[in-house]
Amino acid sequence: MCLFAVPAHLPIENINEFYNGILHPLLVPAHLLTIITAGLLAGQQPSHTLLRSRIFMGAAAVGLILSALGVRIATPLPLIVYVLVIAIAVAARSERFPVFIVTLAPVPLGILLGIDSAFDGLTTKGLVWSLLGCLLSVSFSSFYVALLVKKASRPWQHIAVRVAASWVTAICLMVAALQFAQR
Amino acid sequence: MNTSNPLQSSTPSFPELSHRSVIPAVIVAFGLYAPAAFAHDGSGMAGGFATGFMHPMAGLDHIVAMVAVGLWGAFLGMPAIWLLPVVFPMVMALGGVLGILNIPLMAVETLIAVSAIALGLCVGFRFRPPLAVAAVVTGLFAIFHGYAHGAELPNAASPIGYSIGFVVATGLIHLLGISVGFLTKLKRGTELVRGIGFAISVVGALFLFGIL
Repeated sequence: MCLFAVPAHLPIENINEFYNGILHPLLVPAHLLTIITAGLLAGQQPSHTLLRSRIFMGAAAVGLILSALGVRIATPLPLIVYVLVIAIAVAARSERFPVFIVTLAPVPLGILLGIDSAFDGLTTKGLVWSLLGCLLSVSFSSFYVALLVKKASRPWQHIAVRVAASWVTAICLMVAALQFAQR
Repeated sequence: MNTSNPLQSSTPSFPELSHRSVIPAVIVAFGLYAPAAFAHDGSGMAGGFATGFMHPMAGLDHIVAMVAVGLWGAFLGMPAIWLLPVVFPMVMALGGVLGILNIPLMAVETLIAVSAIALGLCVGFRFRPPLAVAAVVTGLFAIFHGYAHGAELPNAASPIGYSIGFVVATGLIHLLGISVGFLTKLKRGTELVRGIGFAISVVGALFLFGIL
């Protein structure tokens, strides 16, 4: 719970830009949900888990570069809605879906995550280190989740993956509804 | 062991459990329910999470109804016992969306109490309808529970923190019910769980008539 006490999108004092970049996706709840969902999706597939994790990592890199170039999204609503869609797919057993869909699905997820990870008010050098830290954090975190899911062999573990996805779905559904209602 | 399609197994089976595995599971389940000590009201993300986490815990009518769903799932067996934890949070969130959007629902608190009575009686009488009927019944009640929680969301310190806390707490209470349902594997366990079901319906009735 103490994780959530740290203000999101604000640099943490006394640590440098690189470590701020590492911590950033882990401290922003919407980004953490995105990473978990990407990992659940990749790990749930019967094959090519590493490839699908790399696709998400590559997409996140593209999104981070776009954010460095000044591309912004006004609200995290598109990211939350997309996470919602992917989480529903995982809860509904995404391994039954066509391969090209589950292969391409992480692309918008990573790009939106990267764009939403804007670091403002930094020098060019600081920005590069922040983005690098952020990319490493996103990549390793999602990959570890995917590996964990991939290791699931017992029936109850497969169910646990779907339960986790249904929890993410419920969270995103309510947050998206609130964002929509506040418009 | 078939690992490819656990929910749609043609020969559904419930894990063989001995009292050595059931009793620790039930103890852990009650440990999960143990409410955390909150010495201070939080703000920001921590405050939102704490508020959301405590909201389902604060209402006994919510707790007993969700525990009853888990118990009922245990009586219904596979695949209901595992299907409900997947479906229940999502349907409950739909109710939460109705609350957030201020779409009026009639007699929410009354129907929450009725849900405890009905689900408790389903457990007590070992009512075993088709899976679709059970899913619709629990889904309908879940909407009213979710509505009550969702109506609080716009006032939360952190909406996403509140949502995370609310969903996690709800899931843990649900797992508590499922874990207690494992008692049916013990000698006399079925009678014990049926008794809990009747007790839940009594609690619901007390809420319905305003005694609790």
